[in-house]
Amino acid sequence: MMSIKIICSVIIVVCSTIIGFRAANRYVLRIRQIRALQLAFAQLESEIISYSTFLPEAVKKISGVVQEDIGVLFNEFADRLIDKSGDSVSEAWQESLRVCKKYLHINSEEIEILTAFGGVLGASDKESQRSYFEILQNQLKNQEKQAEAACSKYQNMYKSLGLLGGLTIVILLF
Amino acid sequence: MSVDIIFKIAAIGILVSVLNHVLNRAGREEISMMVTLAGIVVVLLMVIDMISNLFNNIKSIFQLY
Repeated sequence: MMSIKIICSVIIVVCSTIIGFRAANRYVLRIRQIRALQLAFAQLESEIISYSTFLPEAVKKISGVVQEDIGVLFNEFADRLIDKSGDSVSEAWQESLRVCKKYLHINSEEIEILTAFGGVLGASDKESQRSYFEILQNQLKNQEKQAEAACSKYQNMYKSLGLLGGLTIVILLF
Repeated sequence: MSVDIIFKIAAIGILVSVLNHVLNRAGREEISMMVTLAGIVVVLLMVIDMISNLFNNIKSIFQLY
């Protein structure tokens, strides 16, 4: 009877530790995805400004290059553009953001920035496109800084919280 | 009457104090306050029937019926 108790306690502690690590990992993933987004939009900018590629082709090309989860988002966007389903660029972008939300670990503030950018993407001449890209990059850089601050603050907290929470449950049940 | 409950309460006390420290360091003072209160409530729930036993015993010893 005692051994079953001990085994179950160990399982509870391990599970809650894993939950804590996953919660802490969310912050790391958020930073990684913001960086990937910066890279992806820098590439998109050079495709549009320097090579004058069509938007669907440029987006499709980028979806293969960048980090997986962001690639899924761009792939969805490209498919919607190529389909010519009747959506405008901003509608397609919003729709693909909505669909891919579950792969993205970025928060609502970043989603808002991206949605706003979708509204001006491909809707004006080269010069203003360039300034829009610049604004977007600055905003993403700010978000990256915020995400880093949050990460250093909460990462350790969630890790120890998971382990200690598990220990508390075990002691209460023992 | 076992001595287990004393160790249990001590362990909860240590855990709550460590949790408090961690949460304070992360700037979550309100949550650390909640954790402290939860710890107190849990320990109280554990000892409350022992306390009532104690009072009953005192009452019966001094015949305060």
